Amino acid sequence: MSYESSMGAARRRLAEGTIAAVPFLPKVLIFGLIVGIASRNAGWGLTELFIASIGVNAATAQLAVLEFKDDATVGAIVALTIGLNGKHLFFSASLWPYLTGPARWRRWLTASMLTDSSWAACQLAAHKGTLSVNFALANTLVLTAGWVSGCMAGFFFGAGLTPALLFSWGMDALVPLSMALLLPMGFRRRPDQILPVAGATAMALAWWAFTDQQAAALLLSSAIGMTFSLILSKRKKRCL
Amino acid sequence: MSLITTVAITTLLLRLSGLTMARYLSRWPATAEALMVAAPSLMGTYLAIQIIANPSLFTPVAIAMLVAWFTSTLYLSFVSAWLLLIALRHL
Repeated sequence: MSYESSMGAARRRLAEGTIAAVPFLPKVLIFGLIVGIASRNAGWGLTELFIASIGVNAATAQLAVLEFKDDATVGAIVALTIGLNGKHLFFSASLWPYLTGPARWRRWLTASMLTDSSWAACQLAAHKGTLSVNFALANTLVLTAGWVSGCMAGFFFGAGLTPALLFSWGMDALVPLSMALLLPMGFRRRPDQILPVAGATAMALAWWAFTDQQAAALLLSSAIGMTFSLILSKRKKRCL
Repeated sequence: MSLITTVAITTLLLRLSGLTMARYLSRWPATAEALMVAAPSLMGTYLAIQIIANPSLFTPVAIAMLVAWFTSTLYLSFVSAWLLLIALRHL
């Protein structure tokens, strides 16, 4: 491929990644507004909120930090963060096969900004066969910018927004609906994944029912799904 | 500020560790293949938890899954399910 055509392909993927972020922007902006309002009410300054929105870039973890007292130990903070954000380990791991290319910094920068929304957008692109490191980089950059803007806007002008308004416009449903599309399409392509996924979901749900730890249940389901898949592939090899 | 920095650094390390973990696991084809099941397992559990916590999601999610299964059209399924959800919540 010539230099011009590879540059053209890279630009096209960057544009596609930007466009793919648009359906998720309302949700990101509105959740950002809520976190901005909560941060202001908790007595945070603009600098603290800016650092948290860029560095943490996750609504649940940012809201949890607001509840923490200053005398909390580092171990407790790290444990809480791993519990809440452990799913990000599998988010970036599952995108690794697509994040190839000569510029490693793009891969690392993309992974450092990956969230529920950008992961869902990248999974949609993976199913369409358009996911690349440039797509993911543009997508995560746009959604991170949206998140920071939402948090800042909430800090200054978010007083009129209520969770009921958010709910009535279905803003809480954007990520679940994306996943509802991806699962059947993935299963049609790979029916052998149905069994490990169903087993992992059932076991993680049981864990969630007993502990009420959503993030840990998500982490567990990924690990169980991988284990089931390994066991099934070993059994298949033994049968052949 | 140290609290925010600790949470930010831990989150960043988690995100970057995923890449390192996937790169390490890719040395074994069976493990790399199993890694492909991690994402749908996470999605299945996330979806189930969201529906149990918020039952009004059930009908739109079911519609989205059916439309996606039979038509394989991502955006049509997504928009139809989202509009249905808004309609149901405004009724």
